[in-house]
Amino acid sequence: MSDTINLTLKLWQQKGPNEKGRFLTYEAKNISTHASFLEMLDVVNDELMEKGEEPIAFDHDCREGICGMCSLVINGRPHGPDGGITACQLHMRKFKDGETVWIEPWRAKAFPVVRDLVVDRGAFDRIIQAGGFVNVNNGGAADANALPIPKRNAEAAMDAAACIGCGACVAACRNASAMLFVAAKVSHLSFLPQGAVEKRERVLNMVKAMDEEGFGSCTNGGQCEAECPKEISVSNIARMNREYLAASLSSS
Amino acid sequence: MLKSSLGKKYVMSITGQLVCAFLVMHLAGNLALFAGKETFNKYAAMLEANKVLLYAAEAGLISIFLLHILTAIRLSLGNRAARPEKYAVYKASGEKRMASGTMIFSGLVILTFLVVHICQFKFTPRVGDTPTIYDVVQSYFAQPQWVIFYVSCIWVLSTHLFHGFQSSFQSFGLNHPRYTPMIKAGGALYAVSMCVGYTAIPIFMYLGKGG
Repeated sequence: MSDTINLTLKLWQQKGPNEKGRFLTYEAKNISTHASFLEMLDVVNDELMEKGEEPIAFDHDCREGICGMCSLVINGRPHGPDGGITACQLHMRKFKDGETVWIEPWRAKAFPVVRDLVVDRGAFDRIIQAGGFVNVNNGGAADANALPIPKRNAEAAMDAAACIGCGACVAACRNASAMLFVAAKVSHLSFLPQGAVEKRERVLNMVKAMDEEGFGSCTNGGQCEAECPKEISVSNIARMNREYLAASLSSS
Repeated sequence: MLKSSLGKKYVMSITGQLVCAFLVMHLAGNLALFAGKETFNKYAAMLEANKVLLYAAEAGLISIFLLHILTAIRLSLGNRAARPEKYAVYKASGEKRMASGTMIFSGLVILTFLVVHICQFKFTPRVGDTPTIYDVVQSYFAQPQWVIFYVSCIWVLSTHLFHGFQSSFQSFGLNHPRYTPMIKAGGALYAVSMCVGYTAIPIFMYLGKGG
């Protein structure tokens, strides 16, 4: 395998939320196959700036798959062609020399484009504010293991808590539904004794907030699970569905 | 609750499951066609004998279908609105994309089929060459274009059932590492059985006529 490749990039350009966007075609030359996808974009942006052109705006922070900031739909797949990783963990060796690579932002009404490839995921913050937390009284830190939690529950809670809130589920979903994200948060907290106390109000409030943001509904197509960088299972969606049903049909 | 996105999915799954149950009864009853003209006409007469029960059943079916269809249209419009700007390239993976992604379209095909089907077998006057319901059925299925129409529509219905049956369990929150694969297999078996059962009727009626 050669160490450098040439690519034709189709980069989404959009000046602002209400502007009309278009694709910029850019010939990326001599891209190292050892580079990450975001490093490749850094190189492209350096070249654009050297030519006196505007660089392409994209979100990133930790660049190690933890923060959930990177939000690129690469060749039609959120976070690109590799499974179980974020775009920043994607390497250029996954691409063939001469390939055309389409790079688009998350597309959803609830995630308006701020600029180019950057979207506003404030909708997720508002859903969290509606119930994605536990109320704990202040005071000294509780003793470790003072609350016994069965190993299986701790594991299941941890699996759901792996969600980094990147929004790939929304981007992948044919209906731009946020079910996997909300379900992961609902599941994570209701598995633990600290969160179980408020699980009824939590699921009602978070689903209400989700609906108000204008996300689509779930068709059980499974794109979210397939594209989630943390491989969160759709069984969490079923858990949210039954918690919501139970919470709706029972009094507090 | 029913105003929320989850509530609408509950409506879809309950009404969908009720239609699934109806399809089984409808098929079981109509297999009487294979037992010959007399048996089938007797079965039809029995259904039509008690007017109160008949109208109650029809009213029930119409409300189930209307709820299913209207909720589906509302959900589908909401889903469309949730992504105003489409992707230039969209290749998100996931299972059963064909069936799950085309529910609204297969649904609209089924709705059209339903209208045609009811006009043909409920409202065709039973006079002249077709004095009984069996003769009406036979006259339509003697024509190859109607056989093809029925077989194609039933195939579309089966793709709808293939996704819908198992999906309704997930919408209600029934998901279990051991049982979900069984439910999915059961859904596939159900869809294939309905496809085979229902397509057998027009095909055998046609062959019986021709042979």
